[in-house]
Amino acid sequence: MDLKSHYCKSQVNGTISITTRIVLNDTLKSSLEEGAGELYLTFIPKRCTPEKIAQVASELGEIYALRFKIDFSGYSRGYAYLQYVNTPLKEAALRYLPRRFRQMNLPIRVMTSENNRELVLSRVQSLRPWQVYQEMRKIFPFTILRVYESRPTGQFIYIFRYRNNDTAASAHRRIRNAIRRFGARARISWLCRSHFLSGEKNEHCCRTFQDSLLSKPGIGSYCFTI
Amino acid sequence: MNKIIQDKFIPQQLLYFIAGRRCCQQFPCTFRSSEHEAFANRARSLGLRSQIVQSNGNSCVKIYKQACRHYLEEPKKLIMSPTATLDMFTLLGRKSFMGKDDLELSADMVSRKASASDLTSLHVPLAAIRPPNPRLWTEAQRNFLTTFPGHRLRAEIMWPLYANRVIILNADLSWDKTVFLPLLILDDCQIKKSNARIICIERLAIVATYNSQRMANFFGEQLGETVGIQLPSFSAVSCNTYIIFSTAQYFLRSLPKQRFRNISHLVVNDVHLHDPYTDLLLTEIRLALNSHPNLRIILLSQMDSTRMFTGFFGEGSEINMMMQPETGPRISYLNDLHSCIALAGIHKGPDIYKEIPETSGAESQRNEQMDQCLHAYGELGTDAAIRPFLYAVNYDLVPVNYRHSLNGKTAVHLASELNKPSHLRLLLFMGADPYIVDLYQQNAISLAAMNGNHECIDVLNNYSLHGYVVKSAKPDFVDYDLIIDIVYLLRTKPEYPPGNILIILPTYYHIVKLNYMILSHCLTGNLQECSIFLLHENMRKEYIDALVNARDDTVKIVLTTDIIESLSLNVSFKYEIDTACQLTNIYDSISCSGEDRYEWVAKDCLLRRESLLDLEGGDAQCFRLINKEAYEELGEISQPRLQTMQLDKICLTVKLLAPNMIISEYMGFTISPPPLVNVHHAVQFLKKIDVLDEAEDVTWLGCRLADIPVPCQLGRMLIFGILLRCLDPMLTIVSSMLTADPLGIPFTEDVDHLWDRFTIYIQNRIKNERARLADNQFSDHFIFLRLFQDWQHRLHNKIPPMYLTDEYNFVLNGLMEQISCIRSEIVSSLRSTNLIHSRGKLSMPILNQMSGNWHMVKAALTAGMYPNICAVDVGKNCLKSANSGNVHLHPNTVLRDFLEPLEVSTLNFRTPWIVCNKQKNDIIYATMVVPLTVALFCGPPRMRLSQICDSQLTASDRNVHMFIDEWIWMVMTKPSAEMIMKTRQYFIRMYNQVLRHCTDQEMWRRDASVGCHYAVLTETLSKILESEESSAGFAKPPPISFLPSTQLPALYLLSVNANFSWARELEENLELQEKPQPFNSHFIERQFFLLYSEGECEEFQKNSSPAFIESVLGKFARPIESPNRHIFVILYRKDPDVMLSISRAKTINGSFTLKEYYRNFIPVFEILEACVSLNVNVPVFDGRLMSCLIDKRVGNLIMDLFAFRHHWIHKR
Amino acid sequence: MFNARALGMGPSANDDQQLVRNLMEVQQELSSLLESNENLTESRAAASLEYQDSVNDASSSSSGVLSEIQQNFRVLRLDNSAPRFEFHGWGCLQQLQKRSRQFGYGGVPAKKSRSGGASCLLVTGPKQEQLQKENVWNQQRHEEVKNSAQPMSIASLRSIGLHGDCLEHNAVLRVMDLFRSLHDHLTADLGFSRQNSMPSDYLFDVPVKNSMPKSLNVRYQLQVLCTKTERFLIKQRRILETNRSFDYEKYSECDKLIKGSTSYLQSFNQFMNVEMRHRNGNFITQSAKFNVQRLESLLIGLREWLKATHLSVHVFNWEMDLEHRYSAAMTESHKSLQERAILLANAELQAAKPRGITVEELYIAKRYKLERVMTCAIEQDEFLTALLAHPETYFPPQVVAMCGPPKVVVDMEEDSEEAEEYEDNAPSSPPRSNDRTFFRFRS
Repeated sequence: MDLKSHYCKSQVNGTISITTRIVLNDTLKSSLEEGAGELYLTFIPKRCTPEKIAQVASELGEIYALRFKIDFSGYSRGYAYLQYVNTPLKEAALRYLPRRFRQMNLPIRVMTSENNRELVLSRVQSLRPWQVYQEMRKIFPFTILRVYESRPTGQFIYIFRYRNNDTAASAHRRIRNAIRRFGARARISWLCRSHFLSGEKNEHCCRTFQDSLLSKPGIGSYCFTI
Repeated sequence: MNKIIQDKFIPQQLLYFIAGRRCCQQFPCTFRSSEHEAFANRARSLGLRSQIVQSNGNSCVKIYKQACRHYLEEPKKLIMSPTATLDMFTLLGRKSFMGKDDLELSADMVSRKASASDLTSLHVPLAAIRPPNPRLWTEAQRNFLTTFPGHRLRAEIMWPLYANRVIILNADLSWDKTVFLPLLILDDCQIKKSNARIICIERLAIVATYNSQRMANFFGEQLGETVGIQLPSFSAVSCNTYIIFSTAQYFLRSLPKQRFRNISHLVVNDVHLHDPYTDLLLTEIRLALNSHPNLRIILLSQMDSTRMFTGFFGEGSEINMMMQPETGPRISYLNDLHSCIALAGIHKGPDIYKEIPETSGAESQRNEQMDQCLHAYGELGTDAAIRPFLYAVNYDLVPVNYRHSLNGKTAVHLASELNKPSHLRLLLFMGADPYIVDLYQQNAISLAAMNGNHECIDVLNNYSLHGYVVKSAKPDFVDYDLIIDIVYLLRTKPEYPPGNILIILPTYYHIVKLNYMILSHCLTGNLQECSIFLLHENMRKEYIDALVNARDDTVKIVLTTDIIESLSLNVSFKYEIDTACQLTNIYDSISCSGEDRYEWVAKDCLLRRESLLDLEGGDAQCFRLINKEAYEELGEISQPRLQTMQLDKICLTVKLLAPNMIISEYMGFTISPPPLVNVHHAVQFLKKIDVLDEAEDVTWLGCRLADIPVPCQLGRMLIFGILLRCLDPMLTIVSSMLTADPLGIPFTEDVDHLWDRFTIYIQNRIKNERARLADNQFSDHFIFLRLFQDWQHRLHNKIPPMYLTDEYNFVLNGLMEQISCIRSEIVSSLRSTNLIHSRGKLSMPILNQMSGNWHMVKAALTAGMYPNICAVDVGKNCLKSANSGNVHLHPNTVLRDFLEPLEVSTLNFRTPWIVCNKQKNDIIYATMVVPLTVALFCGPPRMRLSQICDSQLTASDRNVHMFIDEWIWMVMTKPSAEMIMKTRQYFIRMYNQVLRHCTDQEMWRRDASVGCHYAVLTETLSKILESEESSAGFAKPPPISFLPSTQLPALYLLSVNANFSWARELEENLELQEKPQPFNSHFIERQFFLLYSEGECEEFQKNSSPAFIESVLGKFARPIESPNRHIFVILYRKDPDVMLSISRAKTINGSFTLKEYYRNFIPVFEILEACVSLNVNVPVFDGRLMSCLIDKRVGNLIMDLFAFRHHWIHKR
Repeated sequence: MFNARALGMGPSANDDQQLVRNLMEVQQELSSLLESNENLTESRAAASLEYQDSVNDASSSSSGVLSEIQQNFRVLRLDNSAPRFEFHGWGCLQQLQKRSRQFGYGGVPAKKSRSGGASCLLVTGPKQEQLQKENVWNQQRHEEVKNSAQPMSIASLRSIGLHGDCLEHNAVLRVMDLFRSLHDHLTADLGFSRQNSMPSDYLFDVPVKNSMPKSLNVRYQLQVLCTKTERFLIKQRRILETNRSFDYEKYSECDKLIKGSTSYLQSFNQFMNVEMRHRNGNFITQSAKFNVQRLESLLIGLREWLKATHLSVHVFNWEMDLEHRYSAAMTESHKSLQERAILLANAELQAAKPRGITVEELYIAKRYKLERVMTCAIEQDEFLTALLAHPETYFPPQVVAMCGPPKVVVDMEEDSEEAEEYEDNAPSSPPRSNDRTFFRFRS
């Protein structure tokens, strides 16, 4: 199959992406962009090229994107992310691809991507939550900010959620460079997927912040969202 | 035969040598020991000196003339302390080191050649070239395209492009050529369905970033889609990318692998500037045209005649779109400016400090000595009597206008009184001012007239006819005061309608300094408020964005370096102040070192700058701070950098581009071939520091240095920082060397007119500060570390505060911003060279294990700075260095005091060896190192004991002579020599292994076997050096703590300027004033409140809640606040009575808030004194009231006192 | 511990202290989760510090956050694309934590131990052991040396593989050094007088073409050397033959030398097929060792012969050049050069004497207490003398012009006279050079 005519290859710093040229509808595209059906490929040999992997992977169906990480010498950093246009293909790929790689004598392993896209900001000094929200928007756009109050210290824990792992990674880098805006001891780190604070599973407790609330200041609500 | 040799041949050779130009010569090894004796005897009788040296295992005789600095009177002794010996012994005895070295010894016997093909490719190859998909421009895009001045002339530009492979387009900056032409070509390719991949080469990375972003915005895309970018810091390219921006340097870096494949058009911008890398690129293009017949080259320039380029390529056509505007801007030169300003009568606020008596009684020893010098000259008046004074001016930074502290006479007074016209002329040349009056109200002219000294009167008459002083005729004097005056003129005089002002300065340092001055004049309110923006080569993109996105209704003052000539900004300028000078590093082939020199720019450059003005509105005016006569004498075209610069990095680039060509031959083919001697020196230097080997092939070190964006020697320092695991201090030192020194001792020219009578005092204070930071370590490089560290500690890792204290602090913050910016750039380049890994044995924490250890830092410094090493020859009382010539210590270094002869300085020196940075022949930064460090780390990397030691002659002796290079000569015991050489071998093994294999990340894993002894090696070395230094008598260095992860604030200057910018205040008050009304700030009235504080400012701010402020101030101040009446609050404290800060108070969003302008300590007595001297009613500050309103004049005065605090004069 | 207690005592325990402790532990766990890079003690200290801070600042609460947001709603500029902001009060966090504990994916302290342990365990088991052993051994060495009165006895040096005589003890390397030295001799240039015309900086050292092959194979090196020597001797022979007619005595002396050297070449032939292999610098067989020893002494002999040959032939040729082949003009120029050199040599002898302090200088130094400055000035004597003598050379022309008469445009004729006069005043200044601007530099 002719990779070049079907796919577009691009490089941004340490990532080579091979993406489909097919025009997708917006909903599918946005769900893919958020990481639907993402696979994580690891143990990729140093000299293995993204084209080779794309070639093999496309045997199963149209690839949406392969994000292949390289080091400064231009060689593989050992892992890559893979998504099919047809997200259910993921299950098949989990079974098929390892076998196929083994046939080609490649030790590549395939697993479900965790799509870790949440960052934790802690030990913020002197800034209030709304200021953090505002500052962080200037640094890198995120989708959701969840603030947890932790007593008795009165500190807040900020969890930022990004569109996908890729944006979270670039956000991480940008925030690290600007971390001093949040005080001398502020820290940014990845939130582990298995942590109890990870993921959105607490909508139940939140009340929407509306204009009605705005008019009644000092309401004793614990959780809210805007 | 032997007799003839000894009696005839050898004497004849010595005579030849004497008649020749050389200062010393090594005779071939063919001579035997009996002939060596003959040489020595004959030489002695001819007044020459001789020495038998060991080179490559052969003993040779070397003959020196008296003036030669390569001759050490005697070998320097190296005696290792017992502890160091023991430590080294233990190190060498380690089992893991033993037994392996035999073959290692032969490393120089086995080929270890590296070549360009070993370089890692930094980005993936470009995809195959394809025709772009046809697309339709949107309405907005079409409109945008028509805004280009070249839009109408599309066809005229495209036609030559079909007919020629090379075209040169001349058009001025407003054409925005690097954005316009690629779009034009892309559009054409879309229509014609022809292949397109356009590479746009910019001179600077920041310009490439800015232009690519603009073009991506035009397409409404992210970078990396249609428009891509390839820079070391950021690259984004895809197979759909048709236009790629890059810099010449980076593009050249990818050439060895990529060649010119998959490129249809190459657009090179600013060829007229002759950036060295652009010039190299042109050579490569000329070669590539032979093998790529379809390549199209578009050279963009802003020069009238470009015959040079067509001549260079032997083909091509020229499109000249440069149009001489019918009416240019009005241009004023220095000659007219002074009178113009004097006539205008500028009101800059009270000159409080004018009244302060000079040096206020703080007489230093230096003042006494200078008084004596003048005294001696005044009494004797001979040549011998003026010598001490001339010495002090030329070598010790004493201002030539130094006034005797009792009678106020200067040297010029004395010369004209004594009728010494030759002395008078010399003093005038040196910049002396004859109009100064002494205590008897006489100036030089009246003194000459009084005594009837006609010759002197003639000289002085001629001088006064020229109408200005020498100081302003020098390019290295940037007259800040004059610039401020002009800004006042433009901003306060009604005959100058408001408009944006562009100020072009030579360096970043000048920008920062002027920024403070303008800001402080704006804050005190004498200057109308305006927004200040900065542009320079090393800025972040935010600086441009801030300027481009600034509101239209503010007056912008843009301080910039010559980068403005390549930045196409959408900002119109009405006024331009051009200092017309530039700082260039010029290679001096006599002293073999670079020298920073201020020079006037050429005429073409001034014309280009002039064309930046927007003539549409009329009344555009350009102020050139250069004399009309000097302007007339300027060259038409600037000299290409390649011909004057230090070529080390260029030679390395060339060698990587053309590995099979002799560098000097290649350089001869460039468009601006540099002098052969410069190339030759550069190549020899690179060989010396092991970047090239004897056959001129690139070594592994060279391969690694290619990607580090600093000169080769500094890069080498970083490498040794990595090897000796003290990377962080080396980073600080290297980046400090690349920026201006905040603690450089100022010349009279650097001190502005308010303070120039305090020059000596300020110099002494700075010298003391340097001594404090150096802390008896005999090192200027240590000062860099301490300064950086002190600054970091002061900030407690926070963003520098937004209030101002004084100029020094502001400049320091600005320079430190630059340093941290360079640091992070270097770190990322080291990462991309794979010299720093993210984990494993080459990870940051490991590479910084020794960072707190000053001994190791010194070792890395010595190794990296080699061959810049000097030795003190006590017998001869002078300094010797590998480069001949008169080397002396500049008063800047901590190694000597002011007016201190070398003879006296050396008494304190602990060792004879000095590692140094030179400017021409002056040592400005120096560090003393112990002999062991020199023996261990200097010299070529491949060195064997048997090659450098003189062992045959002294078989029975315990001592051995060692010749580390052609002049470093040491004597030590044989066991020490063997141990040192063996330690060297271990170290060099590590050096080779790291440089060669650092790209292999796997190899350096934490548990890998490679390099597991390096930790032991570095640790022992640090122990050895520590005990060696303490036995040499060095004091224990103060701890240099190093912060593991320093995230230093960037963009300090941007945020300060934004903080005090008028535009932002308006924005905050949007609902208060529906429409921002333009009003003249001259009608602004100011009211001052005093507010009593218990503690310091910090405490006050912490403890005072908005409610408190409201209660003590708000209710009084709020009623009287109006857009034309500003409220200021001065914070003060009792015991001692001091003013702490001044803030502007403002009602923002309904709450009364303070914005701090200045914070400092002003003792109340000083205010009272100033009041008395200016005849202002003396206020009472008794602290009985929490707050009170004070007299406006006193308030203004206090504000001025805050604004003109001088760090060195008012330091508490 | 926390779990057991919390479950065991349940909510019934309303001991305030207990509550505070519980909260602190939750806090610690949280912070250790978030900062796995930090070691435990530090985070604990930090947590307690934070705790103290916050006691004073108890006013902050969720309602506070809400009201702040309300106050600053306008500033936040929320539109549809704005990211969501969620706020969860303390209770929410607590609930979540409880639930997570029930479900069993609570604390992830595994990270903690890894980060803590890894930093001190840089090396793995067997390696560690080896290092320990090594340390013991080193310790012993150290003590041995300490105990011995003379720290660096030859014996102790031997133990670390050194000899203390600065001689090369490895035969292979010794031979290689000899080869290198011989190559140097073969390429040595005795006609060095033409280098004299160049200024001597080490940077100007003529590149040496020492093309010794990079190999450790003794036989190969020998072959290369033989070829090179042969060519060298042929060249010498050619030079010698051109001078044969001038002086037979000297000719025969040189001839002997060349012949002697050539005879060495023949003796090398025997080494072309004997055993001289080595591994890592150690010869494999006894015979190889012996052969190389012989070779070494031969090479040393050859070196002496080559030196003598080269020198003698060159000087012979040089002398004959001077006596027989120079033209009159050449001899003349040679003579003048000679004279100039002798003059220079006298100057050189003068310069060898240090410049003393003159009486006047001594007087000034004493009378005005200017000893230090005077010494400084003497150190820079040359420059100051030159500056006083010819100041014009050190300044750019426009500066010099300032003290000269102004350019008058009106009356050219009247003015010209004056200008000439002026030039008479400054007769002997060397030509001005524009590139020599200010002698001072800026930092």
